[in-house]
Amino acid sequence: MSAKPYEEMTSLHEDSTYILGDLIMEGSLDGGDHPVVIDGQFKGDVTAIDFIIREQGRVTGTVKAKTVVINGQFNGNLICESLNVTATGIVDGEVQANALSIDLGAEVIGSISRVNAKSK
Amino acid sequence: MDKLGSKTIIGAGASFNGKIINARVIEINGKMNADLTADKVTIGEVGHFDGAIRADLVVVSGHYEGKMQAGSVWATATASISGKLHYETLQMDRGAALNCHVVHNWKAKNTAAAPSENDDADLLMQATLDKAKNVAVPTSPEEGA
Repeated sequence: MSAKPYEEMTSLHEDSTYILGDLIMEGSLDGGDHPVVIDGQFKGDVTAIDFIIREQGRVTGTVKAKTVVINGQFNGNLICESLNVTATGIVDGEVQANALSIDLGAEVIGSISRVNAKSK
Repeated sequence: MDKLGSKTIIGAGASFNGKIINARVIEINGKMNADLTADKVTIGEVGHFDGAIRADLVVVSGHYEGKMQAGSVWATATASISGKLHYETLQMDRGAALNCHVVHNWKAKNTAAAPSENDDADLLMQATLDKAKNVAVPTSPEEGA
């Protein structure tokens, strides 16, 4: 399987959740059926279908999603079906993913494993 | 994408629990249970906000419950507000449902008050109310006769 093109995932969608700018958000976020895009600071738990951390985004916590694209920084636990860490991405923590792509230049520190068999 | 600028949007169907500080412009179409400090807040028609808001401008088209401290409040026709509303200017469209405690000019200056100033605002408000009722209030210097 391949991840959705980044452009498609981040194209403007009225119902998507965007966390942009200088704000600091702490808590738990459930994106519902629509993408969650983070370009600010977020601490806590995120549940979403598509989850994108943009270049200025910094996320600390636990993320559960189907597809994840990381252009920014992520610290914590990540459970997803497919993960793409782009050249500007930094990941530190425990990653569980079935499809994984790491672009040249990305920093990935921590453990990587597959999601438990039951979901496949 | 960058058309969005720095506007934060909580999409319809999304839900958030927690705290948000330093937001500039934020639009809420989902369910929020939060403590929010921002410049401009919009609660969309399908938005649900539960919790405290401190902002310069708040436009409510959805449901709000909690303590709001805002410079300007605009309750559109589909708004429903309950709780406490501290404002300097308030606009209410026909059809808006306000079911709340409303206080005008809760603080003379600085519309976006820090949380620690809440008690002062409450005291000031109480003093004003007492004065309005012609109840003898023990004179204190900051009342300004």
